[in-house]
Amino acid sequence: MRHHHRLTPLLYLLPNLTGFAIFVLIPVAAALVLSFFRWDLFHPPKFVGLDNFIDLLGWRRDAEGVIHLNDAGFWKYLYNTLYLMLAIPITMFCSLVLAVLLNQKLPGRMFFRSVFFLPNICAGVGLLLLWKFLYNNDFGLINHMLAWVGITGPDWLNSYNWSKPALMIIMIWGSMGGTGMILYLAGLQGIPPELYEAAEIDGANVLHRFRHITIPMLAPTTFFIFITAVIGGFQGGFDMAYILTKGGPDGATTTLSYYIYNHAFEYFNMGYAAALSLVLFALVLFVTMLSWRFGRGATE
Amino acid sequence: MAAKKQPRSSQEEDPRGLGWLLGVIIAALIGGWFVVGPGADPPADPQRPIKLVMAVPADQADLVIYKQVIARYEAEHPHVAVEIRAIPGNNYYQKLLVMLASGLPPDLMWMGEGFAEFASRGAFMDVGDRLDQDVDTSDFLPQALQWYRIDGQQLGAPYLIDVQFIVYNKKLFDEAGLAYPRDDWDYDEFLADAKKLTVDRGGDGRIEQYGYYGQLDMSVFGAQPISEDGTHATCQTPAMMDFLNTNRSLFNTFHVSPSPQQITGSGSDVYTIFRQGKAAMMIAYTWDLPYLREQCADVDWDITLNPKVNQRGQWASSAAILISSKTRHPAEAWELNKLFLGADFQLRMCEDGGLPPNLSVARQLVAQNRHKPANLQALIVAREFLYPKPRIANSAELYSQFYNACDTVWMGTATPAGAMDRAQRQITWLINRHQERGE
Repeated sequence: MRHHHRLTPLLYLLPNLTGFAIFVLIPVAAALVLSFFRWDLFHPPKFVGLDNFIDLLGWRRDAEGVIHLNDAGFWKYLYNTLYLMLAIPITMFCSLVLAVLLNQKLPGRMFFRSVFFLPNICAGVGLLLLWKFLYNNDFGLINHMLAWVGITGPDWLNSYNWSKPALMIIMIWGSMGGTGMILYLAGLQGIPPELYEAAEIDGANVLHRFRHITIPMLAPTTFFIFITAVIGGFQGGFDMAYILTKGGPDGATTTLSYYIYNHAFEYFNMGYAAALSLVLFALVLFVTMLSWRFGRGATE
Repeated sequence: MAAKKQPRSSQEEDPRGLGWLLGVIIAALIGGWFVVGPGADPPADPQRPIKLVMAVPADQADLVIYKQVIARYEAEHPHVAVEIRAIPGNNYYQKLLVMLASGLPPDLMWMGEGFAEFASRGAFMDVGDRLDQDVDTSDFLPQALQWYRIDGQQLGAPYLIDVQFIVYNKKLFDEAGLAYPRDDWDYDEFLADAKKLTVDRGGDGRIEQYGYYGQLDMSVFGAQPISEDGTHATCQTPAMMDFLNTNRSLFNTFHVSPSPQQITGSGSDVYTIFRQGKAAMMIAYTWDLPYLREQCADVDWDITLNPKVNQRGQWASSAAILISSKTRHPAEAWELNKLFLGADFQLRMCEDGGLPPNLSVARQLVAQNRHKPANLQALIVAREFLYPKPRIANSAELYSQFYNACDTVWMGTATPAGAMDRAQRQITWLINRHQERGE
């Protein structure tokens, strides 16, 4: 009877676990194993030990003794990925501001909540194509509007210096009204109003209340949003690179995820792509643990 | 004080059970793969129904022609059924790659620019003997056959050659009082025309009409970033420096062309630019011809060949239907493949845009042409100096280094010498690594 009790819930989980095993567990394990192989998808995988990691993270000296990174692209694209992640704090700040505004008892707040969440339910490709038009150098709305105030706008997506900020603007626009805002809204509604009333009686103004009540009370929410955004940030940028810039110019918008795709499906280096994925996984794990280590104290 | 360990609730599940279940699922999945996975070939039986799978890009016009050829084949070979897998063009090679990797390759597959990547990895069957025996290739462009010879194996033959050329607006030439360009013109004539055709109406530096829209191709400089055999980088040759310096001067010094970055950044397609008269001359390819005919019907246009700079040259590529080295039905696949090498198929596929590799078919195509361009004959002249990319392994990875370095030149963030030094170093290292690994 006891045995039966233990088996029944597992059987209920069986369909889900089967899907999890097929689409997550086995591919992840395969990627881990593949990173130690060379595989071009045509021939059987060949074990190469740590070769892929040496190619990825190692360096070499030329005849003059100058050191060159084996894969300078990896470091450049890691930098690009981290650069684009600078959008995370800005997005979080915008989400918080939006959530605070939309938490007020203002007319039409439900409408605005929907409007700000809209980018999250629209097709990503369509939105990116729309942004491509907005950024267009010849007839894009953004440069057109900049021209009204006498500013000659840059060639956003084709400039080495402006392409990354251009993508960051899209990221901020697309994410600030998304799950971050919803979570902040939920967090704000969980703050007991008595705290604000007591502070008001003690003479605290709006800024004091925000600084000393809202922000500390939202710390667990902020921490959660930050961790998930960092994980997403490391893995992100593929769709924008693929649709808007093809990773250019000169790799300025190539992120690690786009680089992994290129190695796997354009260059046929499946083992190297797996090694890249593993390094990316290690990076995400490290940063998440670091955030957990130092961020958790602030939330407690 | 240490927290007191709580007794396990009766509702709480033992996590070991979950682990066991996952283990059983994975074992079942792996075991199932071996049971139902690809098995051994059944014994050959001439009467047994056979199914051939053919992968092609999903182009509606081409699909009609493929289906007609296949219908004819199926009528002659009633025991063979052919299934067409029409794959969207953007992801064609990726999808094909997955089909090959999963052990379910199509028996026949269309190949264009991606040929070298697949061929160098043994994806195609050697059809050299069959080709010699069954197909009269005496009229074929020898170079086109050579393109499909890899490591001594003849992997097929093309049915179409794509050629790059220059399309020009005759009205804008007339307005500028210029004679139309000849097929054998040179760079000085090209530049003189491009300057006269470039118009800055307001004198404000904003060009309303460019003399030329695009780059001069590497072929007219004799430049290639990688040697023909793929063994070394050739980014620092004088020809490559000429290619970069000359093209840079077109937009930087003479302002007769927008920069490659401006062209990439333009939201308008090239046909709109050309139709609106914003470009008097423009780089174009044979696959552009149907769009030019349709979208620029109101424009009086024609085509000419690239001007001679260091040499004559026209970028070229080709398309072919090839047989998978893994096909279980090589004889049937070859019988079908033969139809894709025939004069009729070449003619029909090239009618919209393309040069038939068979000279007599090419001449027939030009003779029966009643549409623009009037100078379709130029494509036949171009046969003499076609300049395809080297057909080498790992070309996508190697070329990406070159194109990235070119970007820095076009953006003005690096000199041609500096950019090519970087490209040369990176490509050399990659080639060496691939050679060390026997790839």
